[in-house]
Order: sequence, then structure tokens, then C-alpha cells
Amino acid sequence: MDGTYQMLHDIIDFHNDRMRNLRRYYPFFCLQNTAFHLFKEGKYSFLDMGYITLAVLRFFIEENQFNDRAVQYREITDFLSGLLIRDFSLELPEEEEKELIDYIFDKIKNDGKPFVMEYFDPVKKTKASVRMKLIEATLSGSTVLYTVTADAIEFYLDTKEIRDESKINIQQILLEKMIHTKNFKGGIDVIRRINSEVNRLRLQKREVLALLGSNVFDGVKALEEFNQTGMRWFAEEQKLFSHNMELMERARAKAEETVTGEKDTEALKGIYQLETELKKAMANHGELLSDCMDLQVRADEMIHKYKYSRLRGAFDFRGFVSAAKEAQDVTLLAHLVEPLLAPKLQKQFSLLQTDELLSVPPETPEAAEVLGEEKEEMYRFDDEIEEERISGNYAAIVKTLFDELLAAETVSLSGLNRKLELKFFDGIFKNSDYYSFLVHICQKKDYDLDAVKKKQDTFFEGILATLMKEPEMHRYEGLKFRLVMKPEAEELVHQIAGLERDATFVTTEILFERIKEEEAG
Amino acid sequence: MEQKSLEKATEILAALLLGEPVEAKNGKHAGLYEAYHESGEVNDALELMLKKLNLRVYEYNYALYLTVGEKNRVFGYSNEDLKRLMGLRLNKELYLCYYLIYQAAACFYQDSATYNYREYIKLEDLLEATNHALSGMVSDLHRFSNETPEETSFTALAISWDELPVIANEDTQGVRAGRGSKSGFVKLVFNFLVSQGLFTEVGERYYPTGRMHALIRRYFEEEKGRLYELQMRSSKGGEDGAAY
Repeated sequence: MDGTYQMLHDIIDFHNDRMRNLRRYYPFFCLQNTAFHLFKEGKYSFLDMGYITLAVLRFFIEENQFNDRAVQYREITDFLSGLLIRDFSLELPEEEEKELIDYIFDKIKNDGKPFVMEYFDPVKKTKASVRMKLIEATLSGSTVLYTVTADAIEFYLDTKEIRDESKINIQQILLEKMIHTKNFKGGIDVIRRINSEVNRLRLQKREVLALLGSNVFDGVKALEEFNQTGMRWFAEEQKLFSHNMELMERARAKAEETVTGEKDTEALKGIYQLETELKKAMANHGELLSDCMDLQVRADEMIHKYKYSRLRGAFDFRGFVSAAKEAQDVTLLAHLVEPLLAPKLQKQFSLLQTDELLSVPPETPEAAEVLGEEKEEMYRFDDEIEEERISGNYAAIVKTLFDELLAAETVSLSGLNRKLELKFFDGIFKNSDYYSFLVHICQKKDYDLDAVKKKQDTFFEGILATLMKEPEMHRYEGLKFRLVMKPEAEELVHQIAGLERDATFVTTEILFERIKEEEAG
Repeated sequence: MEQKSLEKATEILAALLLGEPVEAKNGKHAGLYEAYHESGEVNDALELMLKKLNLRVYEYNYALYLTVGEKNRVFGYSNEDLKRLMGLRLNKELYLCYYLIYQAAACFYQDSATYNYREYIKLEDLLEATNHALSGMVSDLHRFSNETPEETSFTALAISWDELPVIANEDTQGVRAGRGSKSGFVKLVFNFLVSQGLFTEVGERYYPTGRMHALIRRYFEEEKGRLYELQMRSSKGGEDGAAY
């Protein structure tokens, strides 16, 4: 049971670590598979990218680590050109060679992008990816300088040399062996490797300092890691250095005593060389030690300064940005940038928007609003209603009057009243329109319905003219009549039913006389 | 208030809006600076107009500088405006430019009161500073990174920076502003900062202007409370987000 648990633990929990280590190899195999057959129709498929990659790395290590200088593009082209001629006997015209070298170098630096390897993370159960670059570029003035990354150095050393927490120690042990076996030339190589490791540590120290400058919390973490992996081996390394130095001195003394032939002189020369290199390496190592002491002091200073500045009443840009980083929200940066900008004064149409015109999808046609057929609202004002009522009532009275006039030549008001009472009951006498009708009709002495149609003199004639347009009034066409007031001013008293008091009204008797044709003529 | 004072205040505002220097020494608006400084009425009238327009003026080193503050709907820029102005296409490119602008300011100021006494920076200084500042995030990416990060996250910003080559083409002489490389981006940002009157360029060296100093020192000093609150809220939000 325990065994299974241990196995699962190894499989799942350590998978990320393993992949992290494996990523160093990933670019190499990517490049190895970068077949040249895609380039120039496979003209150069006999070239081995894996070999070229390792050679370029070694070249970079030589320049960056041993000679302590960055590489320019021209130097890389020189190196690759030499390699192509030496190892592949490939002599090309200048233009074509440049093109090939550009292609190779672009592949190795992956066009400036990191190589990304995807894998399954069994802990989080998601897809994860690891990234790695072989060559890093920096800009100095207007020239680009290339350096090999620490990961690439580790990969290169992994391919042959042994890895351990302190590479310096392993190399020292190796050196010891070489001195014992009198392989002084091999010893020099080992010392160079020691130097390269020392240089790597110094580089790492600089990185830690830079990180401290930009983010104290990350910096402190990196410093701790650096102390654990790099600095704790110092004492042991120093001990081994002096031990090797002793060995060297002994070997030299022994060689000096027994020097006889040319071969021995050669060996002695090797010893001297190795001794000088070893001294250089020790000095280098000593510098690293003082560098690390310096790092500690400066780190303390920075942390102190940071603590102090947090207490001061100033706005802390770095604090703000670190908070934004933690919250993973870059939009917060706008708060820092916007206030710095000049006022925007130009408001204009941008030409760039013409590009957008092409990509904007056509608008979906908008459906027109459907308007139902609505009846036009007629507004009727109070006076219109009144007028309508009046003309309606007048029409009723006028029709009665005209009918009477058609039947008899003369109609008296009292006769008309009786007729009206029969038709509309005596309610009509309670209607004010009846009285206004009498007033209006008395305004003229005689009426000619045909003439009325053309010209109206009074309000009553106006109503008559409108009435005459109705088809049922056609039968009255040509009717003429006059009003005759009784000279003796006979008063007509009419009783109105239903009204209790003063239920009588008094008018003057009027005679309506039809005017005959011949009379009118 | 006298008509004359109002006139002077309007003149000052117009000059500031047009980006013309209003300063005591030389310059055609020295008289305006004097009026601002010596007449309380002019001062009041200007303050009143600024307040209504949501603008602010800071006095620094015998000169006046105007800021539009944040989210100013009349004089401020929208993301689209800025992208158009800088020749960018994507939001993430704009955020990268924001970050570069912050880095450029951070080269001179750690906080609004601590000036590093640095005279100028060069293109490669800003490039290097940004590399260092993002190195922590990039090295985290070396360890693990899951799926596509959100566009507005710092992880996305670090990735887009990391994936840019230092220079677009080795053969060309000098650096050109562009979106294809780190140096191109830095150049683009510097060009923009120069056009905004925040830096001046002399022989590929970029010197911060009085305007830059004034705004960093005064504006952020004044606004620190609000920004601090924002910072606290965002970090709290981050924690809350992590809890779910």
C-alpha cells in the first residue's frame, strides 16, 4: 500500500519538477527536427541542426562566459560560415550563405520568442506550459548583443558534465583527479568550467539585485534562494581550492626536481599554465565572495529604504504597481498615465477608421414601424356642439313650418305651435331654441329659399342655406314666404303643460304667408 | 470681479490648453504667469474655470502646468484615441505602452517625493529596466503557466513583452518605432512622451521636462489618498478573487 502511495506521489507531485528540468532539452529536439527540407526545397537537408545548435551554444559559452563579452551578429555569421565550410564543406556564394545563416540563427533564437512546451499538469489537472530561450538579445546603443541564457548553459553542461548543487565542487574533484593523473591540459578545461560557473553565479547576483530594485518582495525571495543554492557552498569550495593549490605546488616541485627531457619540460609548462589558471580562478572566486557580501549589504539597504519610504507621506508608484500586479489588472496603470497626458484638443475623424468600415458587418435592415390606421380625432368645441344643436332644432321647426306652408297658403304662429306640440309634445316650449328661432326668423320680413342658397343676410339664413343642401329639403325649393305681424298686436297666450307656476308664455301672433309665383313675378 | 481679471484668467487657460509654456523666465507668457502669481482675482477666476472644466493647474519651478486628470470626458483620451495616436491596434499593446510609460517615470521617481537625481535615460535603459521589472513574472512563466491569461492581466503583459524580439531586423541602422520589437515599442513610447511634452530628446537621450516633474510631484502627491484607496480595493479584490 505504502509503495503504491509513494509511486503515485512520485508520478503526480514531481511531474512539474521533471518537466521543468526536461524543458532544457526541448529546444534542442525542436531544432533537431527543424528539417532543412522546408528551406529552399530541401537543398540543405544534409545539414544537422542539432550539431549546429550545440556548436553555437559552445561558441556563446566561450565568448560570454570565458571571454566575458557579448556576441554581435557579425561574429555569429563568421562563426557559422566557418562551421559550414569546415564541417559540411559547404562553400556558397556570399548572398546565399547569408540567407542560410540568417535562417539557422533565426531558428536557434526562435525569432526572439521562447520555445514553449505544453504538457499536462496532473496536480491542477489542466494544460500547462514551460518556456525556455537559448539566446537572449540586449540592445546596446544601436547594436544588438547576444548572450546565452543560464538555462542554455545548464543544458549544454547537462549533455556531458555532471550536475550537482555545487558544480564548482564537482569540478574541483575532477581537477584533483586530473592533477593526480598529470592531465594538466584537461585540468585547464576544468578550471575554465569552474570560472564559467563562478561567472554564472555573479550574473545571478546581478539579477537578484535588479529584482530587489523593482520589487522588494520578489527580490527577497530570490535572495534567499540564491543564498541557499549558491552561497552555502563557499566554505567548502574555498577549502577545495586551497587543497588543489597545495596539490599543484607539490606536483610542480616534484616535476621541477625530476625534469630531464623535452617531454618533462612540456609537462612543466602545462603545470605552470594550470597553476596560473587556478590562481585566476581563486581570485575570481574571491571576487564572487565579496560580491555576495556586497549583495547582502545592498539588499539590507534596499529593504530598509523601502520600509522607510512606505512610511513617508508620498505616493508610492512601485507599491501601486505591485498591487496592480497582484490583482492582475493592467487597466489600473491608466490611473498613472492619464493625468500625465496633454489635453486632447483635436477632435477629428481618423483615417484608420476607414479600415474598420470594411470589417464592420452590414447593419441588419431595421423594420419600419407599423402605424395602424387611426381615425383622425375630431375635436368638437362647445360652440360647435351648440351650433349643431341649434341647427338640428331649427331644422325640425323649419320643416314643420314649410310643410304647413306647402299645404296652406297662410300659417299662423298659433297654428304652427299646435302642430309642433303634436309632433314634439309641449316639451318644445321649454326649449330655448324655439324662442331664439322666433327671434331670428323675425329679423327679415320675407324669405326666398332659392335666393338664400346664394346669399345669406342673417344667421338664420345661414342655417337655412346649410339645411337646403340636404336631399330631403329639395321639395321646399322655390318656396317663398313673408311674415306678417298682426297690427292689433294680438297676444298669443299658450299654456304649457307640466309646469306649475307661470306656465304660460306670451308672443305676438305672426302670420306666415306663402308668396305665390305669379305674385312674386 | 473685474472684467480685466477674468480676461487674464481666460488667457492663461487658453495658453495652457494649447500647451504653450506659462513660466516666469523668458517665454511670451511671462506676463500671464506674473498676473497669476500676483493677482488674487486672476487666481480665483482661473481656479473657478478649471474646476468647472475638471482640470487642474500646478505651479512648479516658476511655471504653470495643466493636467486633465482622469476620465476627463472633454479633454481626456479614450483607449481608442490613444491607440490611434500611437499607431497601435490592440488593447494589450496599449497596456504594454502604459507599463513602459510607468517604467520611464519610475526611472526617475521611486515615489512622488524621491527623485533619483538621474538626468536622462536612453532607449536601452528603459528596455533594460522593463526587462528587469518583468523578469520576475517571466521567470514564473518558465515554471508554469496555464491556459491563455486574461488580456488585462500582468501575465499577458509579461508574455507579450517576452515574446517580442529585441529588434525587428538586424540589418537596419538605428531603431525605428514600431510594434514588432521591444526596441520599436520603447521608441514608440518615447516619441509619444516627447509629443506630450513629458520628455525632450537630445541625441537619443531623453530628459524629463518640467511638466513631467510637476505632474509627478504635485498631482500624485495630491491624489495619493484616492489612489491608495484604489490600490487597497484592488488588492482586496485580488484576495477575494483568490478565495473563490
